[in-house]
Amino acid sequence: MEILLKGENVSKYFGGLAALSDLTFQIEKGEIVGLIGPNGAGKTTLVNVITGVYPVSKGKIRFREEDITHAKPYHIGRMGVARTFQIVKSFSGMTVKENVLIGALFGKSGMKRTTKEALKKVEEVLEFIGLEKKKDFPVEETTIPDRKRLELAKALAMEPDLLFLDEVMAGLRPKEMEDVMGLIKELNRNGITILLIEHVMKAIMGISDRVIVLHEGRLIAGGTPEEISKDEKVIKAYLGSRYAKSREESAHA
Amino acid sequence: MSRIKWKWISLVIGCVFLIMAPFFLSAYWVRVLTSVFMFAVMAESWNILAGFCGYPSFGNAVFFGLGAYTTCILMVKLHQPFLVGVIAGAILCTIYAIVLGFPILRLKGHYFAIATLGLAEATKELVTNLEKITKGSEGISLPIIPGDVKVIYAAFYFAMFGIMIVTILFTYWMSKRRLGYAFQAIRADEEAALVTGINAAWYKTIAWSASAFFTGLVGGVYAYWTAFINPEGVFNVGITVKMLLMTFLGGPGTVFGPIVGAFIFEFLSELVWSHFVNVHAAFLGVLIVLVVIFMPGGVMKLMRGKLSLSKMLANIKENRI
Amino acid sequence: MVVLQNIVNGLLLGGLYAGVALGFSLVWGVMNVINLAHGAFIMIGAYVTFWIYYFFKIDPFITIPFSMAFTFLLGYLVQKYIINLVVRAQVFMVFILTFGIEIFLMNLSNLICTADFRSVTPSYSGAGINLGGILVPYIRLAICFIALFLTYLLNLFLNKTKTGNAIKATSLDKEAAQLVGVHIGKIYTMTFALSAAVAGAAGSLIAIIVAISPYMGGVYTFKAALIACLGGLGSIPGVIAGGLVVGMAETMGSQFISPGYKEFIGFVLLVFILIMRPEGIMGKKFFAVIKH
Repeated sequence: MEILLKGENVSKYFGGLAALSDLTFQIEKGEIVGLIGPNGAGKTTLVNVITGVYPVSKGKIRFREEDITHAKPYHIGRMGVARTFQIVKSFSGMTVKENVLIGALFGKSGMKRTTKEALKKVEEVLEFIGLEKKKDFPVEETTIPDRKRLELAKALAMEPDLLFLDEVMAGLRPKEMEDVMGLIKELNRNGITILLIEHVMKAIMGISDRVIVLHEGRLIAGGTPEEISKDEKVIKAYLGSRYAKSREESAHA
Repeated sequence: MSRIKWKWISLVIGCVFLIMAPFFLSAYWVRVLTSVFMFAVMAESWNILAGFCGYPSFGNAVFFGLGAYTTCILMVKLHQPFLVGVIAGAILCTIYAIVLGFPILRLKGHYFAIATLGLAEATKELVTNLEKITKGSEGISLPIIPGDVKVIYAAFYFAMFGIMIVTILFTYWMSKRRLGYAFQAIRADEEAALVTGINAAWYKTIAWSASAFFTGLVGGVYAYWTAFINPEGVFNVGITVKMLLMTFLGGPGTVFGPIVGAFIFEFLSELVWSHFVNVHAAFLGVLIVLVVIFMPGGVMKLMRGKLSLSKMLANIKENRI
Repeated sequence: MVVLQNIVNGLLLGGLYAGVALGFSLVWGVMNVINLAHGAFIMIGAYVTFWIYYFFKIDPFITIPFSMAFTFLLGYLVQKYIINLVVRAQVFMVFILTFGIEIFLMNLSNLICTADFRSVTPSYSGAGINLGGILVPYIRLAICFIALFLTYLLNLFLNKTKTGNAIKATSLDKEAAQLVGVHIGKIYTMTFALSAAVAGAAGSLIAIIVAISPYMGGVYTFKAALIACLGGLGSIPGVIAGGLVVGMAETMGSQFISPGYKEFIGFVLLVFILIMRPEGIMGKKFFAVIKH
């Protein structure tokens, strides 16, 4: 299996604080990888570091064969890496259609497209996501759930090979969540490799091929969803050592 | 559909009128209109970086001055023809913007504004100090052009008009293409724009360079038109203020906003305030304050919705503390 | 010897510059308003001193409380009835608003006072102490001292009075301050009025040593911006440090490079500082973040 993304001993310091310590990881083409961990573990920081938003303090990151450790964010975006933001960053002052157009004009094949061709791509993506009817709405007049979908649409218009989704399930009702899970699975079937940051266990466990766990900036576990849900270190990190201890005691009783 | 049609029809009529104007208007009005065109170009080009890209330069007058001085120096010291002087001036301004863009365009928002303000002051100082070349604070005079005054005024009229049309066409073309979308994305959210694949530094530099180019062009034409320039006159912060005000009056981030703003402002200026010459400059300040409080989106935005007092008051409700 | 004289001159000038920048930095730090009209208040303070001196022959130093009172009132009115109307809008719009106010005040002053340069020259103008070959003019010494004293007073006010503490709280976290009962609108008005008063005092001091004109404000606004950025927004020790740096840089630059390049040096310094360390010498990082 082709390795799409590889990180070696990646560390990120903010002054004296080690937000990420010595992370080594890889993502294979075609996978859906789940990234979980308690709040403050460094999940979004990791994505920021990979996409070039934060400079790496130590270590190397490779996308396909290219070293992207010090690459600029726009370069990484054009290579085929897209991401959504936890707090959506829509382009104000423009319509829904124009927002997605930006993705289509500057993503992987964006620079070679004419505006007309890009607009066709935009139509496709809007239909896929379900925002067709609202395409001429100014983005300020859309609801929060719509903006979350717009965030995803912008990323998809970039035609990414690797997509980072940062807590897209937050605030969704169970039915909406299932719809999004289905969407993600379909994107994966169409060839996009996905890294999913989530707190909602049902979503992560339901669609991930593999899960990695971050805690206080370190990778403490990695494996299939099954393995992770039984891993003592993970339980301790999420639920605390007293819970882990009581589980241990009741297991031996 | 019919709304857009009316827009284009009125534009064509306007253009035809303006082209015929020198043949039937008095010399005074020809001069006024020439000045309007000049400021329209400056406002429109200021708008490229400020309105579209979101980087408000408070020192764009620096390009006006550099264009004027380059033209003068090339014509007087190096005996070059007018056209060479003007184009050289515009190119110099573009290079100035590219080179200084490196450090300055990294700054955000007001830091950028303050730095450009400083740039204009520093450049003015530099030009004043290079006395051997620029004659310092004395200023440079250009030879008066021989011939019929009316014809000469008409020539400058069309020169400024032509540059204005080119600037408008450029802005219109840009706004519909990748370039324009890059600018708007940068203005909306630079970090998101970067991550989406936009090389912000590159695009910001293009915006400022274009802004510099057009402003430098009219600076050069202005120098020959008035036949005398000095540092305080052409590097004047008042010029930047006017660019700003016209853009805001008309509507920042739109293609025609600054043009509309320029016309409205200059005509108001001439009609109402030529009677109150002294108070004129102070009124500029009052106008800025009023525009910011009541119609921050400019005339263009007002035209999109309906003109209403309640809308203006609503702005205050939203923004007051 | 020349170097020493310049260092002394630079320090004395630096003290004055700290006073120039004080109000500007405070307003920026507390309300996130970059007051481009700051120079106008300095100019107004200068003119109050001039006119009182002109008509009543009162010693300029004594006119300082009057100019402060006048600019305090003016600042109060401007903030309450103009700036407070738009202060929650996009930061850039407020910036332009203050620009408009500056234009208005400058030109109004031009109408009233005419563009002629004016000066205030009290009888003790040239005198000074001679410290082993280094001349320390009495006036410069007094000006530096007064500026720094005002800074000290303001610092005291901010730390020891209820209103002062409210101002500090607002600058740290507007929402939290509101939650504990601080009336933000009133605090903004008070902050701006104080800023204008200190600016007026600085203007009075400036009138004693340079010739004044209605358009003098712009240069000082820029200096204030430079010092505020250098020292860290809203930080009083930072303002003093920044003032001293700029005073020194200007004096040294004038002496050893060329007197005509003051703005140039200031500009280069500003860009350098903004790129390298936007939070300034003493500032905390979050004060340098522009809130939208």
